[in-house]
Formats: sequence, C-alpha cells, structure tokens
Amino acid sequence: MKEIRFHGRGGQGAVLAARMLAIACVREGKCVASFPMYGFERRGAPVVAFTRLDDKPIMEKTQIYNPDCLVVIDPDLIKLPTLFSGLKPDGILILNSPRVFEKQPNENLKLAGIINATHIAVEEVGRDVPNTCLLGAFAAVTGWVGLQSVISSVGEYFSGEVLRKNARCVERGYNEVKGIKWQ
Amino acid sequence: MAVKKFSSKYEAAWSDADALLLCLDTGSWRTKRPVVNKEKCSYCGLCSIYCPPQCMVTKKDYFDPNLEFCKGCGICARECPRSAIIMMPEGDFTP
Amino acid sequence: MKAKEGELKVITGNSAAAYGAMLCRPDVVASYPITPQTEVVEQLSRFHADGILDAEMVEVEGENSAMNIVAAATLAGGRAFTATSSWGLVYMYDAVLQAAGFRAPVVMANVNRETPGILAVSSGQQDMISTRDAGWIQLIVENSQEILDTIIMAFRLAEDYDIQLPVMVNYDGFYLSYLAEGVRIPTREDVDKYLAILKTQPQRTILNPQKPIGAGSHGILTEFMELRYKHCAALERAKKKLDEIDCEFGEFFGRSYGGQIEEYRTEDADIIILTSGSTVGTTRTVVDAKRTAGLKVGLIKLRMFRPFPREKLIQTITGKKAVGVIDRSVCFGWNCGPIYMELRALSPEIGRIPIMSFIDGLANIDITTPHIERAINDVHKASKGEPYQEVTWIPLEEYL
Repeated sequence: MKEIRFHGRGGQGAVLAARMLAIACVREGKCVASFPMYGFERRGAPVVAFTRLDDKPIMEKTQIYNPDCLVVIDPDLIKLPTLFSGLKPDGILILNSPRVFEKQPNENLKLAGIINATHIAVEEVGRDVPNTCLLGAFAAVTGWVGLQSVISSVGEYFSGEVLRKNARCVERGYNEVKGIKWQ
Repeated sequence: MAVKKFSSKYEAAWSDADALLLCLDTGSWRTKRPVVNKEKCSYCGLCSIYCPPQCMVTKKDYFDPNLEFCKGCGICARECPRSAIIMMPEGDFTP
Repeated sequence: MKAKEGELKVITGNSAAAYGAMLCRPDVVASYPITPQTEVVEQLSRFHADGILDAEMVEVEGENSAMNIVAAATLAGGRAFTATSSWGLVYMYDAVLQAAGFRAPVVMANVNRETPGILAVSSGQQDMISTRDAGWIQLIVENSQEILDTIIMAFRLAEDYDIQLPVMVNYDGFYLSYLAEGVRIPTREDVDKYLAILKTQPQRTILNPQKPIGAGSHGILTEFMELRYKHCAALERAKKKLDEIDCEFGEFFGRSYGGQIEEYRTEDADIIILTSGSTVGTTRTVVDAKRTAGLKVGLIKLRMFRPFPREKLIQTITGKKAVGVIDRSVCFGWNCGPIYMELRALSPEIGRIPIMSFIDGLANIDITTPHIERAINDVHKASKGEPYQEVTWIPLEEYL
C-alpha cells in the first residue's frame, strides 16, 4: 500500500487533485481511498488530503501519519515545520515551486520532483490552478500511476477546451518535472 | 486514572474575546496581496470604503493595505477607479 | 436472477448517498445544506437538473421544514428522502419525533457531526446519540459502498408493511462524507426489481381525500399506551427484517453486510471489540495484526443501533472473556460511552465479564491504529483478571 499526503490551501484544488489521482488509480484496477481534512471551508485555509492506494480494498479510515509521498501544492508550505512529519525512509516529495533547492530538507526524503506548476497553469489555462500539472509530475516521479490514466481522470471533471488545456498541464508536468535524488 | 492534566484552562466552551476575537491573524490567509501605485492613487478613499475588514490605511496622500489583516480578496483592486491597485501573488513577496 | 455488476465510479460518501436515493426514485426530496452533508443536496439537485431524478425538489428554508415535508409526503403515499447533520438534525427534532409517531417511512441520511454545545465542524456520533429515543430505526455504515447500498435497503425496510418506520442512515462526517472510493453503482432497473416486492404488499394507510383520516391524531390513556406499544413492537420486528433484507440484497446484488451486526473473526476469539462507523475499517486492520501476533481478538461491527440488536450481541459475546466498546460520543449522566452503556444492559445474559468503555474520535480526533491497539491491549489485560479502568478517554490519557 502507498500512502500519499497532499498539502495545499483552499481554492488550489488539493482535494480535486487527490480525487483525480484516485480515479486514475481505479482506472488501472487499483483500490483507492482518499479524503481531505479541513475545518472551516474557505479560500486560503490549509487543506490536507490523504490518499491510499493498494491492490486490495483499503480498510484504514485514519489520517496518514507515515506517508510514502508528499504532494505540496502551495510553494510556501515547504516551510511548514510539520510537513515532513512521519515521512517514510525513501520518501518522495512532489513540490510546486519556482525555485529548485539542492539541500536535502529532511533525512527521510530521498527523491524530490520540483515543477513550477503555477507558472505552467497560468500559461496553459490562464489561472493559478497547479493541481493537474502536479499530478503529471507525480506520475513521472513515482511511477505509481500512468500518464494516460491521469489524463483520462482529468476528463472526469473537464471537457472541451478546458480539458485540453489541463491535459497539456498534466503532460508538461510529466515531462518538465526536475528530479533530485539524495542518498 | 482519571484525567488530571488539561491543555485548556476553560471549564466550558468559552474563549478570551479580547485576545482572540479582535486580533485574529487573517493576514496569513492571503494568497494574493494588493499593491498600490502611489503615483496613480488619487486618494479618493473608495478602496477603504469597500474593504471588508476595513484595513486600507491612510498614508499622507495614498492608501495602503494593513497586511496584518488583509485577506487578499481583491475588492479594492476591483473598485479602484484609477486602476491603481494590482493584486500580486503572495509567493512573489516571501523570501 | 442476479443484478448487473454496475458501473464503477470514484465518488465520495455524500455522492454515494445521493446516488442511493436517486436510484430509488423518490417522489419528494426536501433537504437543507449543512457541512459535512452539503454535497448530498448538491448532487441530488444536479441529478434533478440533468433530468435523471424525477422528483419534487422542495427548496426549504431550514431542516425543520424539510422533515415536516418529507414526513407528510410519505403519509400521502409517496417515497421521500432527506439528509442532514448535527445542528440540522437538532433543528428538526420535533419533526423527527412526529415522523416516528406518525409512522412515516422517511429515509434520512445523517452525516455524523458533533452536536451544538461546543461549536464544532467535525466528526462525531453525538448527533445520532441525541436522537436515539426518537423512535426511528438507526443504521450505521462503514464505507461509501455501504452508504449507497444501505440507503436502498433503508427504503425497503422503512416502507415494508410490517415496519412502516422512518430510517436514519448514519455515516461519519469528514471520514466518510468526503471519502472518495471506488463504488459500484447499481442500475436503476435492478433497484426497481429489488424494491418491487413492496408493491406486492398490502397498501399501507395513507392520506386519501376519498377516505379521510387524521395522521398525527390525539392520543390519551390506554389508547396512547397501545400506540407506543405497537411502535415498540414494530421496532422489534425491524431486527429480523433487516437481516432478511440484507440477505436478499446479497443474493441479488452480490454484496451483503450481515444485517444487524457483522462478526469479524469472533468465533474463536477470547476478547471482542465492538464499534461502529468508519472506525470499523481501521479496527479490522488492527485485529488482523493482533491475530498474526497470536492474540485471539474479534470485532463486532454494530450496524443497527436502533433497535438495539440484543439477541445477536448476547449470542456473539456470551462465552467471551472481555469486551471493549469504542464510542465516538459520550453518554451524559453515565460518564461513559453510550453504546458501551447499552451493551452493559445485557450483562445479566452475557455474564459478569469485564466490559470496558473507550471514548475516542470526538471532533475530528483521529482514531488511529495505536489508539485501537491500546484499547485491545487493555481489554486483553482485563480478560486475564488484571485490574482495569472501566472508562478510558483515550486521547486525553495519551496526553498524560
């Protein structure tokens, strides 16, 4: 089983990203359970989404304390002191950021995929909705889900021009993500 | 082994209105912030009138947002008749 | 004859509730939004706007009106659905009591959230507990698939001629309401077939201009007591009826849930954990791990809360050495968990074994694997005759 924790802010599409990933995984025949945690529903509030994927049905209904992968949608959240809490050894980070960093931020983090998803989203879609681009980056870096599955899952929520633009975001995230490895 | 140690001091669902009600750190909610072009600003005060938390502050001849409370809603930028206010991503300002 | 497998969609618990209701072709839907239920109302409205749901969608200004409307709609012979949570459930309290007293077969999804008293927009079963004496049938479910399936079974149960009682389907806010999982959506034709048996039953008493009746009439003295007696008797009948309905559902759709309770690895167990809702899912994994480590622990999933499945619980627990009950609520006045308190009432039949109360998961506190392990360890110690603490507020003790 893989446990993925999404960190974002209300309005950035963190919950939608977790949902789309769930659909992509189910399309590949996997079992998925994904839910968000937030208090008052407002733009800008911190949002965490917990996604589990496995080959067999998922029973756990708790938050994720030992993620295999972190997906961080808001660049500022990299500074959150609790961000890396419980990260498993050989942990993976997918980060939306305009800046690449060299220094390993946490000893359990072995692989990071960094992509300026905000910039790509603004270029392709015209709005700061980095979630679809990050899913493309996720697929490329982890290899836990295929690119086509992610694009098809985006098709569940968008159609026409908007779908085409978001599909472009996914592809660009997949192709342009910068991977950094540490020992 | 009854519970003896508590993290909150209140007996019931009470809170300190002085400390929490008036000083809620709404500035941290912001994802965009208003940037005022001082030259373009005509000091009309419309932004201040429309600002929901009333945080447009008068400076000598222009208005500026109080960033402790500004939530980045963008109403000031929308209402400014001189288009003197632009909403910029908060990420551009953090080091 | 078997139902088709149904389309697999990734949907949230709330969406599953809306699908379940839509598939049963309700005549009237009246519902007011409240976190964490809002998506149910939104999804039903979407179905209606897309022409998928052909129902009278009554826009209400509050939950009290919503319950009055759906209760009246069922008394007029229609099928009606509503959904609410905590504050909404409390706002409709008098109408909830009326619906049960009128024997109005309403189906309501209640998305569990903490009740007023401390402002909380978070998960907790206190809202269900606060209406346990309303005279409704109350069911509790564990995952999104079960939400959808149980809403279908709820209509089958509520409208059954032998029952005619409103049914509340409870599921945890946040943990299940927003949980996106793969869910098999039955076809509407198959749900029609499953519910078709209701049409073969005698016509229940309904409002009819040709044959006027009063519904919600005055009662006094012996007649009042007789009506209460009949109401209680109907609730008793609901136990066996749910087991039968669940069996039929399993035979037709290929999924069954055990009826009043589900027993998980209880047969040769020494100790038992009894719990309900989303907690059951996590508890299954802990039970499996403990079993692998050699501890003979079993889990009882409480699916039917009202009527309380006394016979089933007595049967499963008799002979075990100790029981722990994990409650996601409190019983004011008894200083323990409410489901624990109700299980304790079965002591004369179960025998004098340690029965322990664990209170956890209030207001979005996560009932984590370590919490459940702690509960199982404590029950295990008690089963060996060691002194034990009757009531444990797990998160507060962890704090110590």
